[in-house]
Amino acid sequence: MTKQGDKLLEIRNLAVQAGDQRVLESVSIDIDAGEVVAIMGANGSGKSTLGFALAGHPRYEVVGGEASLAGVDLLAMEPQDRARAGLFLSFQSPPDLPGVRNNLFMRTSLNAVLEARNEEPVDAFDFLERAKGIAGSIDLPAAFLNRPVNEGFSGGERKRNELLQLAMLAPKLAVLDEVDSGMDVDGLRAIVETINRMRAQGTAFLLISHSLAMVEAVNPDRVAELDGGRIARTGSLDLAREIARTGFSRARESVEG
Amino acid sequence: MQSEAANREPAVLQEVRDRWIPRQTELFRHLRPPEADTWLARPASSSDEASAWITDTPGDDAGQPGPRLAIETDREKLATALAKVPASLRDEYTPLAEAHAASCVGFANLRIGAEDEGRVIRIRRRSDAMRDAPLLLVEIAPGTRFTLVEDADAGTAPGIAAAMTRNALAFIRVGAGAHLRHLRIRREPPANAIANRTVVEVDGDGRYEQITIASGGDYHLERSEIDLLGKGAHAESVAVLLAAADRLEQQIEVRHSAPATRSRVETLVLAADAARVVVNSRTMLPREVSGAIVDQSLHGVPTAGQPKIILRPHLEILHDQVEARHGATWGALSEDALFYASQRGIDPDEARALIVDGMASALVDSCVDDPELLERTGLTPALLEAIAGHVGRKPERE
Repeated sequence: MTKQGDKLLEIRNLAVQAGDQRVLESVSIDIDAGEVVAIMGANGSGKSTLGFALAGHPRYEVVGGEASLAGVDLLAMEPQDRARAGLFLSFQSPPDLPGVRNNLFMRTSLNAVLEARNEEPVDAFDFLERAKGIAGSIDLPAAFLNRPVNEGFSGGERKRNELLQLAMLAPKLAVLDEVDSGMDVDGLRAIVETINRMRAQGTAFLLISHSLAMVEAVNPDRVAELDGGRIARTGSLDLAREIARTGFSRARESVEG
Repeated sequence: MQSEAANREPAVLQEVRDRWIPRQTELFRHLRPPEADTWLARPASSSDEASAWITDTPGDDAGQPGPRLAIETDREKLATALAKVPASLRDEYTPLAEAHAASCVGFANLRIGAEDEGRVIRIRRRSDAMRDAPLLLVEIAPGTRFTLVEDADAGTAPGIAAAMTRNALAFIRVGAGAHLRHLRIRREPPANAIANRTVVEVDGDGRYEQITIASGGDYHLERSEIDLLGKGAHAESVAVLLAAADRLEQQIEVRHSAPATRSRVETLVLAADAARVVVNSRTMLPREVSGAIVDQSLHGVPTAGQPKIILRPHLEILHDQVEARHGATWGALSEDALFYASQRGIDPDEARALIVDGMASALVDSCVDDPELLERTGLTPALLEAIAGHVGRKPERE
């Protein structure tokens, strides 16, 4: 298990292409265990691409650079091995899995991760107890565990379902791609509480968000602005406030100027 | 008996050969059945007929004798029974129906009355004939609720090589207000040639639910003809067809012969590699039938390689007051869904098995939402095994 302050994610000059389009030119970020880095950027700046590329989505081709998680080459691994190694991606738009029961999906996922950690698998009974406990803490009715994954879920319910999986899997690094969109105030509180609880246990977060209120509530260690396929600026919460006040174009002008 | 049957071979069988399905027919446009001689049997002796039908009552602990099949091999009774079966809704099928009649040596009769309310019977066919032509007659008394399981996966009878031919006919009558759940497991060895025809008539306010799991066979045809005869009759057919190197076809024809009738046909095709699968679905609403509701959806999912999947949804609507929906979708398993599962640490093969099982089970449950019944009748285990055979990994359910 990584401890607070251990070097966890190291990204160097990452370049990513989606189809014929170069989305990320050269991105470099370091994140230590237990750290939270908020990524902000205009629409189309490549925030989601960064998450998908780290997670190994086949539509995103890494054409340059390096990325390691806890010293292991992330880019050399298959997507499922990246997840087992401790990388979790909360999807901006989690897909439906018609007919696949949420509890079965999550237990299969959890046991795959536990096996990679050389831990004992959980049986259906223990899983359900654990899942119900977490679901209660994020205001997701337990009945959702028995429904097909994301099928018929509202936007907020999908995001709560992502939070449930996040808390269940306890990854080393979680990339949260607009986890706050579609959430009500109780949902936003659940996100902040989940991040703070897991952060104290050593989980690091790459938080992608357009909401200053969300970023302020999480109180990240750093804020990074993604622009032109690169990290244009990094700073404290003040950078997030400046972006909120002036917009991305003003922020970009001030950098270029 | 055998010599008598053999004596009629030259004349009757030659007639069938002479009238065999021509090369150019609309019904068999994409998948033509094997030639006449594949189906024409030297009939088995009548004594074989009684032992070929195997029945049990899965999970039925009522302590009373279950419903019984009556086996008949008398030639006159057989002729009368065959005459009761309506002619095929499509003339082009007639040669296969004639081949069946020429090869059939007996039949099983199942009469379900009020004393069988809520019960289940499972019927298996295990003939030692290389060419088998069974006939099953089923009658559900008015107001009776019943479950019939047909399981073709009874294994190979002793002394029979792997390849065999079966041209089967079932004629089912669902009485007024009766409710029949018809669960069909059709997993065939790869070399078999199979033509299963099921003819169903549903009286007023009767309900007929058909679930089919079909796979295997060098040539495998599942044909259903459902006639909604009485006002308020309702029929549902859902099917999961799984094919890898198979030639598999489903033909399902529904005729709304009375007002305020309702039908739903939904089929999921999972095909891989060199499979060739055809689904022909036709629903007919004649001019005199008003207030009918029709739903017809066909889905084709190539799971590996380059299979050929042909989906043909077809509605014939001759009345204005009809609520109808139909369509066909064709597409690979969702890349986003597969990636989502992988991102949660799930092995790709396991993810495929989970997603395919999810699609199939959602379809089955949409017709009969009774997991306990589906489990004890063997339908769920058969579905899981068929999926395991298709994607190479058995999906977990709980």
